[in-house]
Formats: sequence, C-alpha cells, structure tokens
Amino acid sequence: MSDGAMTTLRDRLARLPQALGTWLTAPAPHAAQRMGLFRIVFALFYLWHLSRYHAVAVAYWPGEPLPVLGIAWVPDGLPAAVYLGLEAVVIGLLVLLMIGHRTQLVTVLLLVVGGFYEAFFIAQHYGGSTVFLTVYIPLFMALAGSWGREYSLDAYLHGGHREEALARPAEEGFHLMPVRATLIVASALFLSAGLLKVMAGGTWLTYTRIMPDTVLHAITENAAAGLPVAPIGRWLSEATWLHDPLRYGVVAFESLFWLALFGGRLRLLIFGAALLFHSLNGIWVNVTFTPFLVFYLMFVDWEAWKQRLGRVLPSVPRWPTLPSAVLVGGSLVLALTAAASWNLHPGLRDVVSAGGLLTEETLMYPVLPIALFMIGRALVGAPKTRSTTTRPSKEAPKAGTAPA
Amino acid sequence: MLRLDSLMTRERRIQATVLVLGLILVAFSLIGRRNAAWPIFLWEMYSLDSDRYPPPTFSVVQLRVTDDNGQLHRLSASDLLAPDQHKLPQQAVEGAFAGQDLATQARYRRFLAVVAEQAVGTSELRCLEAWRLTWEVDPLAVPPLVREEPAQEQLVGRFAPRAGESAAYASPCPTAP
Repeated sequence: MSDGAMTTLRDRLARLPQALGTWLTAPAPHAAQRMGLFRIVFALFYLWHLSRYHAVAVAYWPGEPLPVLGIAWVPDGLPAAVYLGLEAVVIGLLVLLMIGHRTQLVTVLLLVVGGFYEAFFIAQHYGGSTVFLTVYIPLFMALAGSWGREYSLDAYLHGGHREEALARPAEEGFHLMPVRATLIVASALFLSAGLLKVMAGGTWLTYTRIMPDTVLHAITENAAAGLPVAPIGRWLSEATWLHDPLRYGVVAFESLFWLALFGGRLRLLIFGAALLFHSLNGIWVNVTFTPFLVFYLMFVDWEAWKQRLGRVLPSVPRWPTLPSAVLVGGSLVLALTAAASWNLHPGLRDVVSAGGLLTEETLMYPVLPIALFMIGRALVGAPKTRSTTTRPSKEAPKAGTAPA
Repeated sequence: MLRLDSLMTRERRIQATVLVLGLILVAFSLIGRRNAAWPIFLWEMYSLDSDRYPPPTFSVVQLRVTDDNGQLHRLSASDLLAPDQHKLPQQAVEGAFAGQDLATQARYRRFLAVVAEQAVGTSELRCLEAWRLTWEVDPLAVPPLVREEPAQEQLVGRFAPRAGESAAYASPCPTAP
C-alpha cells in the first residue's frame, strides 16, 4: 500500500469516532417525547419479564453455578433474603423509572442492580434473550441520560428540561442515541449468531437436517409439556427441497441483519422478517426469544402513536396540580409498596402479566400480523412519514433519512 | 441535590457512548464461545448441534405434591419455573435422590420443596413425590407422543417437605389420616 493510501486510511479511521457520533445523533422528529414514552413501555416490559421469575429459584438452587463474570466473587450460601432483597430493589427501581423520578440515577442503579440480579439466573442457565433488557438498553440509556426528559415526574418538577428540548430541535436526535447504539450491538450479535453456525466448530454447513430435526425435537418437548403441537413435523421433515434454503436462509439472515443500520425500507423489511421468524418459532415450536422484543419496541415512534390515538380517544382530564412533596412522596410510597408486595401477594405480578395471559408464547400472536404488515409495507411502498409533531421544526429530517 | 446530568455534557455523553460501543465490539471480537464473560458474549444458538432428531423415548420429571388437605397437585417443569429454567427440576430431582451425599440431597430437596410450595401456593405440604414419565416417541406423528399415556411412570423418590432441614428432608411421607 502506498504512503498516500495509508495516510488516507489513517485519516478515515481517525474520523470514524466523529462520524459515528454524528450518525448516532442525527436529527429525528420528537425524539425526546418518544424516548420518554418508551421509558414507560420499557419499565412495564421489564416488570412483565420479572413476573415470570422468582428469586427463590436462585436463592435455593444448590447446583454449581456456571461461571459468570459478574457474580464470580459472590460467596456461596448467601441467605435467601439477599436475593429477595435484590429482586425487591429492582421492582422498586422499575416503578420509579416508569414514573420518571430521579430518572438518571434510577437508570444507573437499575443497570447495576438489575444486571447483577440477572447474572444469577444466567449462572443457572445461559440465555441470550435477556441481555438487551437487563444490560444494554439500561447501559446506553444511562450514558445518554435523557429518557426522563419527557413524560416524567422529573420533567414535571423541572420544567426547564422540556423548554430546553423544545428550544433546540436540531439536537433532538441526541435522545435517540441509545436506540442507534443498541442497534449496532444487536447487529454484531446477530452477525455472531450467523457466523458461529458456520465457523469455529459450527455444524450448520454439514448438518443438513438441522432445521427439521430442531423443529421435531421442539414439537416432542411441547407434546410432553402439554403445549400445543404444530402439525408441521412430518411435512417439514419430508420436504427435503426446503432444508437447505431454510438452513442457509437463517445463516444469511442473521449475518445480514446489520443492513438494518441503513434505516428506511431496508430496516423495516429486516425487522419485519426478524419478527416473523421470532413469532413463527414461538407459535409453532415454542422456541421463544420474547424478552428481546423490547429491542424492537425501541424503534416505535410512541409519540406519533400517542398523537394518533389522541385524535380518536377522548382527552384525559388534566391531573390537579399537587405540591412537589406529595408527588415525590407518592412515587416513593408506590415504589416501596410494589417492592414489598411483589412476593407477598400475587396482585402486581398478575397485573403486569394480565393474570397470566401474557406469556412468552401468547405475546408472539400479535407479533405475527405486525411482522407481516411491516414486510408488506417495506416491499410495497416506502414508509409514509407524516409529521406528527405539534411544533414546527425546521430541521426535522425528510422521510427515510433519519437513522431511527 | 446532585443532578447526574450536571456531571457530563452532551458532547461527553456522545464520546462516552462511542467509546463504550468500541469497547463492546472489540470484546465481542475476542470473546469467541466463552459465555462466562456475560454480558459480553456471543449468540451461539444451536450452532454446535449435530443430532437434534428426537430420541425413541422421551422422559420428563413430574412432582406430585400432597398438601395438608390431602389434595394432590401434579406439577410439571413449566408449573414450577419460567420456561428457560425448564431443565432445573430435572437436575434437582437427580440431585435430591441420587446426590453424592445426604447434605447435597437435602439441599436439592429443599429447592424442590420451595418451588413446589410456591407453585401450589401454600407451605403446608405433606408429601412430595418425584416421578419420571417416559413416552415412546413417533417423531413424525401428530402428536409425537400421547401425553396422557406414558409408557412408564417411575417413582424416583419421596419425602416430607415439612420435616425441615434438620432432618435433611429425609423423613418419609406420613400416611394419610
């Protein structure tokens, strides 16, 4: 390589962090508002996730834990109260996060305590679907520190935040920085899933029946567990013409998920295909990846949906103005009550899981039509971007130009 | 009151995010198949499987728990724990009745007792029995096994959960009144 080419390459590499920073913070309409609403969705989703687990399952588990970095130094034989306490703290933090009280501090604490608590479950059984919910999303939200600027008690008590955000629309893209950063991490993990199937001992190049056999195995497990059995086993097993396209298709899709970084119709198509894959796996063979759904929920323009719904639903009466001390005190009481009652009474678990109706499997049923709609919209026409913002923004991006 | 946003400017936050992203991506490229560094780990789902065709027979464990009212509860793994913890009851039953020593067995029995109490909703359990149900599998049939008709139901072991840890959960179940 010539000196000139080396210099050019070095210059480009030196500019990479700045270019990445620009991409991460590209302007987007009402980004602060949609992140504020996503914070509430995230807290509810996290509560639903925890409603399916019990701290006693790790507190009393006598087996040798898998070596997990985060808990390597934790001594054996901790009292069960420690685990129950950790669980209660996470519940309390999630209630405060939903309300938006001391949001930045709560996000940092949730990252630390929630990630630590999750590590005990990972040490029982490695799993890949919860890492975005419990680590990466809180991590990038903590770094950006802005999802409490709208729809939060913080915003209510410190109105300056809102005024500041409204005054500088060009910087609104900053609020979507965690979404784009998370997309980069997800792209890397999807790429790893594809590559590990065909490299470093991966068997997918030689095991031609991996897809039908995996489905047959899952169907057998479901039948033994009393779950619905999909009547596709024999057909899929005998459809040998389909085995290679399925096998290579999965590898290709996972390896190319990063194309979603380009946004627009391509991202809509890839997200739609991924959600279709998740939902069919969940509905047909009960192989679910449900906690990862929270990743896709980050990309929903919740503010636009709120405004659409606001046009058809009756307006909610404004809450009476209350003293700050009452609001803060009420938030803390709510958080403490939720934390204390989580294991004493099934009430809150029942609320966030809709009485047990929201399960890993049932959540996949609405995902299926949504995925098909997304794929159809990506193939048939560009996503229609209508400005739903209520304030003029000279620097709002044109349709399809924003990364998220 | 300490405000965290006063500690970092927006520019610093962007730089920190870029730095953390870079570190994560570098760590991903170095970690390989080592899961122990969670949350830095790769998704290797099903990538090492070489024989997933269902075996000719398939077994699961089932707990049969009698509460103080004499009511019998049949609990499968999905009744006891979350879906991705479905292998734990199987391991616990093995440890509870074939563990290397009585102390180990007692710890597994306590685990089974605790999760069973939670599933049934009462700590007043009189007897806990662990059964292994085995089916013959026809992988291409619908369904591949008839759940209500296991080929074999084998009692693995039983104990009285309320006997407490001091008795190493080794007490026999009391006979019904």
